Parts: sequence; structure tokens; C-alpha cells
Amino acid sequence: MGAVCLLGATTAAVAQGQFDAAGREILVVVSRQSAVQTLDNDTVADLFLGAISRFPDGRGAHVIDQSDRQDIKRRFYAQVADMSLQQLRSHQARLLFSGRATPPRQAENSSLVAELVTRDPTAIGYIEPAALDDRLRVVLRISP
Amino acid sequence: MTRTTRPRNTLVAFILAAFAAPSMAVDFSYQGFGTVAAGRTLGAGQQALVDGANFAAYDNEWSAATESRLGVRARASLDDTWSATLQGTSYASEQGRISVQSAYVGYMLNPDWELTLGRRQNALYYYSDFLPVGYAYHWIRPPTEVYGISPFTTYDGLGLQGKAVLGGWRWQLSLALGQSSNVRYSDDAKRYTSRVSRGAYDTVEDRAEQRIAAQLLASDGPWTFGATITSLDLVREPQNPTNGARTEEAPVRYYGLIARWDGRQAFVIGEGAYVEAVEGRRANSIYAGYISAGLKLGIWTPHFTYGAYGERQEVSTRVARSHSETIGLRVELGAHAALKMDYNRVHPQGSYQNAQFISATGRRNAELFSAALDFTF
Repeated sequence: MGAVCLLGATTAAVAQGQFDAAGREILVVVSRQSAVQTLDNDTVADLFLGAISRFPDGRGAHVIDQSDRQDIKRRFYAQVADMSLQQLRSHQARLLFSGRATPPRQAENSSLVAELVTRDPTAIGYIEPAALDDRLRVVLRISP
Repeated sequence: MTRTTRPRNTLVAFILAAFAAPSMAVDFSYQGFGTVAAGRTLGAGQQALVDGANFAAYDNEWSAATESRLGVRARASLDDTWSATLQGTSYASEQGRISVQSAYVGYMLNPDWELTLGRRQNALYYYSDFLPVGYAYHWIRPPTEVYGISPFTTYDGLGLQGKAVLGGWRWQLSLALGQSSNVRYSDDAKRYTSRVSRGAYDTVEDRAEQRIAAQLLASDGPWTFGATITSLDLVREPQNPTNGARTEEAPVRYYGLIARWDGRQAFVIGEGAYVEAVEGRRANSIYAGYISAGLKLGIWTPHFTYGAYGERQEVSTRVARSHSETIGLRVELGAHAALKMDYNRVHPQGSYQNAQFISATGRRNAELFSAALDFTF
């Protein structure tokens, strides 16, 4: 009986861990109207860091970032670009004030990112799984 | 600080019209940056020229005016192709006089390539085209060995900037064609000559004519490599010809190499510069470089830099050399500010001193301590 309880508790803990991991997953999304199907990690990093301005199919990309107040932003850049928020801000200051690139438009949270991406077939953003709906296409899943 | 001639009036009018066009769907944005810096040399009688292009020097008394500045960049996007950009910086050392660093109209040829007309900052070396923005680098100022060489910080003319992915590397190319000007006014000369003992400078206007410049950067992951070349005809015109000084003209070439590794917990960057000039009857060559390394420990970034400078006058075979060490610390303060402290020690050598370079009175070493708060908004 004790062994069964232990097994049950372990299974529940593993399931809870998987649930938490899924909840902390970051989804990189485009509109369903976009031709982009999938993207790799490096391409997403290049788009959000201003190194490139187009999707691999040659179409221009409108990048939508999240507010500095959102923890998902810290996790996104740490996992996609191996970069802290401080490093990101220095990097963006260099691009901005040299005129090499303009910083991405920012939305306050995942829901607003989803709304903006839905409206624009050239837009790309990252969101929490809870903000996903069927008007969006996931092009990259970033696991914690 | 840097004085440059005013951009063409018609261009300025066009840019202002873009910012003022209420009937058009203009996407207007602005960002700013600032530095509050203070410093002093540590030995009696020592002076340290921290920016040869702009006559910014510290002496043995605390000064908060030498490098403190405030800048604003405004951009009006008319659509996805046309935009207008203005950037100006007010320097404390100039009692608020505004230096215009950018005033240009941009046209996006496609999402990767932009053609610009107007004034832009030089992309002479890696940090040159955002030099006033202290928040974007780890020192209080990039090494003066390399960044104090050129008297020009901007150019007026045509620019082309682009980026591409080739062979797995991210490439950035900047091309520029135009002219530059930097007037050193009499009040600068007075202040400079009173602070730095080698007061050979008079009020002059430096002009760069037929300026052609290119910068190529390639990056992959933490690695960035780059090369720059700038060719110009330098005209140095005294503003007070009664003292017998003559206008001098000389072709000058600037070459630069960049190597940078920027990891998550550490970084290393090195730059080398070589300048060859024929200045009047004297032929000069300058070679300079630095290597800088640091750690990223959360909000703390301790760093160390070694710099070297050499200048040779071919006719007289006189040589000026110096090397320097900089130990510094950058501390992140919140989202958009950083506190910095730098200690510089410079060792002049050789048969004469180069006033364009951070230096001490005579041949003694100079020690400089400075602290700064850099921020963006």
C-alpha cells in the first residue's frame, strides 16, 4: 500500500512538473495568414535582435516585443539569445542611436501581442501558452 | 565639444516638415540618453585629455562638466520606406550648446537596405557611430588611443546601410560619401590651452572633403569581426591667420580592425587602428589599439583594458608613444541606468608628446579617476 502511495505521489509530482513546464513554455507565433510555417532558434534570435529584418522566405518581418515588466521577456532573451535584459538594453541602445535599427514595437503583455500578431500577417511575437488561440500559428516552441 | 557646420537648410526644413506634418499618418518616436560624469587626475599638475577631437580634458580638480551630456533622438516614419531622424546632444562643457549628430532623411530600399541623405555619425571604428551614448558600452569612454584620433564625429552626405545573412554569418555594411567639418572655437582653445600645458592649438576649422568610408561587420553567435576604411582630404584652416599659421591640406586614410567575443558571462574586444597622413610638409603615421576584457557577474561588470598608441613623423623621425591601463566597474541600476567607475593610468614615452592623446604634463604618468551615471529614456 505504501509503495502504491509513493508511486502515486511520484506520478502526480511528475505530472505537475510537466504541467508547470508547459505553462512556462514560450510560444513564438505568427498570424495564421502568414506563409511562415516554422522558424529555428537562431532565426528568431536574429529577428528580435535586429540582425535581420526578413523571414527566410524573403518577406519583411514586423517584430513585436513585450514590456520590460513581463518576466516572459527575461526568459525569452535568456533562452533564445543567451542574453540578459541588461545586455539586451545595451545592444538595443547601440542599434538605436547608431541608426542601424529601430527597437521592436512593445506590447504590454501576451494577450496584446497575440492581438497585434493576429491583425498583421507580417508580424511575429512571443507569448505564454494561455494567450494562444486558433488565429495564431506557433512557429517555435521554447521549453524552459 | 564637437562643433560641426549646420546641415543644409533645405534638408533641415524637409526633416522639420516631416516632424510637423499633422495631416499625414506619421509614426513619431523619440528616445534619449545622458551621462553625468565627474573626474579628476590624481597627481598635482596632471592633465588628462579624454577626447582629443573635442578638447575635453580633466585636471587636478573635480570637474562634472567635462563629459556630462544629454541627448535626444527623434524619428518620424512616414511609412515603411520614408523616415526622418534628428539627434542632438547638449554638453555641459558647452553651457548647453547643442551639437547635431544626426539630421537625415532615410529611404528603405527594402527591409534590409536604407539610403540616407543628411548628417550621420561616423562609423569610423566600432563605437564611433554611437559614441555619445555611454550606456551602450562598459567604459566611461572608449579608449582614447583609438577614439581620440579623428577630429570628426559626423559627416554630411549620402549613406547606405544594409545587412544580410551569408554563409551562416550576419553581415552589416555601412557606406558613406560626403564631407565633415569641425570648428574649434576660440573659447575651446582658451580652455584647452589653459588646462593642457602643450597649448599649441589655435582656433582652427578642420574639414574633411571627398570623404569616402566603409565599415563591414560580420557576426556569428558571440563573435564579431569587422574592418573599416575611411579616406578623406583633410583641410586645416586657421581662423586667426594673423599669427602666421597657414591652411594645410593633406590626404588621410584611416584603417580599423575589430574583433569581439561577447559571451554570457564574459567578453573580450580588441581594435586596431592605423592612420596615414601627409600633413603639409610632414608625413605622419599613427598606429593605435587596445584590448579590453570583462566579466558579467549579474549587475556587476568589472573590466580591464590595455591600450597603446604610437605616432611617427617621417621627416623628423620623431616618435611619440604611450600605453595605458584602465580598470573599471559598471553596475546596472534598474532598467535603464548604469553607474561606472574607471581608473586610467597613462604612460607617455618618446621624444615628444601628442596633444591629441590623453597625456600628462611633461613625460610623467597621468592617473585619472572618473565616475559616471549613464542612462537612456
